[in-house]
Amino acid sequence: MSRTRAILRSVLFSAALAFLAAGALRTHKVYDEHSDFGVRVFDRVSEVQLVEYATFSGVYVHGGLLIRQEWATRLEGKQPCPT
Amino acid sequence: MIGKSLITPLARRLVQVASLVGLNSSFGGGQVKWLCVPVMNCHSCALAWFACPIGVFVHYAGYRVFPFLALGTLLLVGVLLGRFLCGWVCPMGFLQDLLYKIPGRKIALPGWTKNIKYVLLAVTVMLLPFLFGGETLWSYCRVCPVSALQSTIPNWISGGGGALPLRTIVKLAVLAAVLLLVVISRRGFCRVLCPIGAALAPLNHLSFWRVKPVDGCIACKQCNTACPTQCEPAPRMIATMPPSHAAECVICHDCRTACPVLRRK
Repeated sequence: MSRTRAILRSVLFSAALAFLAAGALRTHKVYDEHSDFGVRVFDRVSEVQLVEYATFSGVYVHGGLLIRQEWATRLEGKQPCPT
Repeated sequence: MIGKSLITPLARRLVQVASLVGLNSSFGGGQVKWLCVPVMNCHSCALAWFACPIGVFVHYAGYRVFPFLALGTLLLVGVLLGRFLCGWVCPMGFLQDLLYKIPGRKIALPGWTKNIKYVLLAVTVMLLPFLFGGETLWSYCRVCPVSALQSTIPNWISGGGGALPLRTIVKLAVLAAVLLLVVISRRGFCRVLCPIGAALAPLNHLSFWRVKPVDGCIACKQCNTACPTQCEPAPRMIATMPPSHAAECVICHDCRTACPVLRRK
């Protein structure tokens, strides 16, 4: 039993580190809220930045795309999450 | 495992106070909200330093993006510490410890109620935000009592009061019900409603940090009475197994504090 536990613990510990590494390396396409002539401009933001956006609803999903609120990049524009 | 010298009820209370202040002391900005700390502390609080993993999971489910960073942090903390943060760091846990001291009628919740938190985690943190978006009225954040305490009420007061929308009234009603629950049932929120507890509970069985069983246990079962989460440590103590392997254990070490064998040593 303790051997099974040790193996499971090692697997989960490795998975946690792998998730953290994947999160540190991953980037996301985040599109601007307004489009010019129907073309949306996007930025690549890190997972770290997306987690921050998630804490104040700075990004929403529209048509399967991550859309950044216009005020999200302005520090003074950050506001409490509406939920 | 740590010797008994550092693990005392007073030390736990001091850590809880320091954590409450420390987690919510971002007066000058400079927050690190990309880092999820797996305790019930709402990141919408203006003074919060860190992100709440549940809030991040809700939004990521809405984005339909896998939350590598948040889940990695939660897993890492769970494997290293189990539910240690629930017992020692979580501000909601601290509030429950204080409110339970209010005298009056106390009840023991039926055993099946502990499963409610797993349903809440699966449905209101993952499934419904995934189906209807992170801003859905059916997400956990919409009725989270911690969010109500740390964000909804302060925002309402700072906004000058005024009429409340129905969803806010519902959130405040949930808060009132939870406060009543934790006054009459010890750590009732942890056992029944906490989604972080639900995520960490299975990891208790595997975690590196554990409560050391007592050598020479006399089966007096005083630890069962002392346990705030009714996880009955006595059978594990008798079998010299760590009582913290129980999913509901918040690793407060109150079982060891109550032990007459250890008091004699």
